[in-house]
Amino acid sequence: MSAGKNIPCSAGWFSTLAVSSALGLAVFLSACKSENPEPPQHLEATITPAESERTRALLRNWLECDECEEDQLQHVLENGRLLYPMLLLAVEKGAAPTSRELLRISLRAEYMQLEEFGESHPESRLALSESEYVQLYLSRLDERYIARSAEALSRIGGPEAQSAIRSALDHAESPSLQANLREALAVMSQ
Amino acid sequence: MTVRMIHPGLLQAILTLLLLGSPAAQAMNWDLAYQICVQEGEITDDPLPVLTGDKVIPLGCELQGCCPGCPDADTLNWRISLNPDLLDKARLDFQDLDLAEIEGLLVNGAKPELDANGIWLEPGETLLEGLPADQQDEVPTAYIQAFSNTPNALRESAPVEESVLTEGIIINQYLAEYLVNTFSIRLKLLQCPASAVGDQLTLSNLLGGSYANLLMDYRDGPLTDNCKNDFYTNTVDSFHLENAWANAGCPSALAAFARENAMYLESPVAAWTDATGDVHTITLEPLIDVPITIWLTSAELKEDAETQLIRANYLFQENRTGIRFSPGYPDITDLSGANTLIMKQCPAGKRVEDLQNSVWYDPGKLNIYFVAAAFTGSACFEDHNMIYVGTTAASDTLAHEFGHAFGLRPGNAGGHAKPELGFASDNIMFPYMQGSRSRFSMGQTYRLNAHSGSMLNINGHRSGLEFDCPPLLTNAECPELASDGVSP
Repeated sequence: MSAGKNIPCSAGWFSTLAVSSALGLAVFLSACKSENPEPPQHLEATITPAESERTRALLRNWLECDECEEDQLQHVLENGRLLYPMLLLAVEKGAAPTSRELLRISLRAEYMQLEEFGESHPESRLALSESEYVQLYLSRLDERYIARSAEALSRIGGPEAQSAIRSALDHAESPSLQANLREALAVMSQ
Repeated sequence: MTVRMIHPGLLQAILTLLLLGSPAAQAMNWDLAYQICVQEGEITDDPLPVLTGDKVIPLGCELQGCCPGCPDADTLNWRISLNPDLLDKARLDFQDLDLAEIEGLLVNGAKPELDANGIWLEPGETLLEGLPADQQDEVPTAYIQAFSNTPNALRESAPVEESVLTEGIIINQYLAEYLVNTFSIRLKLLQCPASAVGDQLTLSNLLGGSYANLLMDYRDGPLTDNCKNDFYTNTVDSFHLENAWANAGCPSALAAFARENAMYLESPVAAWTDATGDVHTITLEPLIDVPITIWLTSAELKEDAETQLIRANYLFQENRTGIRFSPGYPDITDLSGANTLIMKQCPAGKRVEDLQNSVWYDPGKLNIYFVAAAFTGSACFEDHNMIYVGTTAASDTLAHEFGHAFGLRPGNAGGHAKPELGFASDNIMFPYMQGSRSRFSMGQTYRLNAHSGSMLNINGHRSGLEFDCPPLLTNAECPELASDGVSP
């Protein structure tokens, strides 16, 4: 497993236990005690709202960055234990319904603008219908979320990550996304 | 009244820089900014609509799983902050909430007076409780309208030249105490630039049936330090300004930006004299047609390439850059050979030269490679005539990469329109793809054209004045990057 430098315990351990009981958390702490230098307050069960907001923003920056030139992935890896459950969900489901809805509304507005533009600029008439335009860029949002969460998970490691990426690969339609997911699995098997 | 996105100024940039030391601070779903210009006759005590209901806020978490440590809550609470110095009231209209959900809402702990599916918000803080938290296929939304307290807002807003924007509305969505989504709008109200009795600037050959933005430096008084820098206004034909004196030591420049014309740039402006009554007529030239070559490494990418190009041309026109892209789509007969050389991302080292020397490269033009790889886009560092676009690109990615090629680079030195530089999330060069990116500031538009590092100039597609104006340099020739104007 290739782990981020601040992720001494298997993130797979964490994801399993983070959603379970306090007893499970205690087992996790015990299992990781010898290698985990971080205090217990960094674990999900005791995350403060401020810490939650800080790490959520880091994840969102990685999923949404364009050229990603500012170590956005590294910031996620450094907080991999906290973000692991959300990464698993993102690789399975893509973007959240709320973010998809925001983009869907924006894309519909864009389409109307471009249609009007095409009326006065015949060389710029869209070949796509509104629903095709919306679907094209909505599906890309999901592909980006899946590809990037897979990339982060492949660096964090863990059996749940491997299983989630495999499952995403089974469902991926786009050849380029399939290639990214295969690459993520290859990284994990190194 | 007019509404136009504008920059916060230097003070805000510095403050924001101090506040936003950590990358986490960019966690806004959208963070918009509007400069609102009020005509003199509209300055009354009556609430003036400044947001007219086209801004949508979907309910729910912005990410799958909501947040680290988020509780398993059924309801979502909104904390809404309305700046009383700027706003009189606001209204939220909900869509796709059922009646029971609306009737179950609490506003500051009490049942609200519902008006259709909407509620009115008073200035200050409002706690809205009981919104559904679990969003699946049908996501309820709220549309927001806001009304200014105009006299107050004009008093409280920064002077024109400072261009500082103030938080107007913040809507934070919470699961218990955990923040899961944020929307904010910064505002500034100012009085529209008024015509004066002095000199006159007249536009000739303004095409496209719309206004032109003007950016001027001139001397506005008898002393040599009476310098007016970066004065923004707009006109559809003629603008009457105060007396512009002969420059005598002040920066002297005039730039005009129109939808269907090339950017006009003159410096110094010799037409202004110490006397009033100068009439300066400028003739605008047609758009600059920029030939580009689009290389499709798979036939399936054509639909996306054509669509992104149309969007880029629309955005470049709407932002009055004066630039239009004319594409060629050469056939790639030897697809496997091309893909071996082009590969999946910007080349480096010897591969740059190999590609430049191949038949899959047009020298002196932008070469855009659409490749079947799951990334968004890159303007290549080692050859600014190379752009790569991948299969997770957004509809505005190509426009964003054109911005880099035309001088808005590197990303970490002003090429990316970050919040700490005073930009809103709808700027085309914003480094995150939340929602729709649709605007260039006038400072950016100027650089696309006038910066000597823009490939527009380097490739010889534009003639005329050029200056060394990298994004973060501000001086007599280079307006502040985020600076913008108001539209009529």
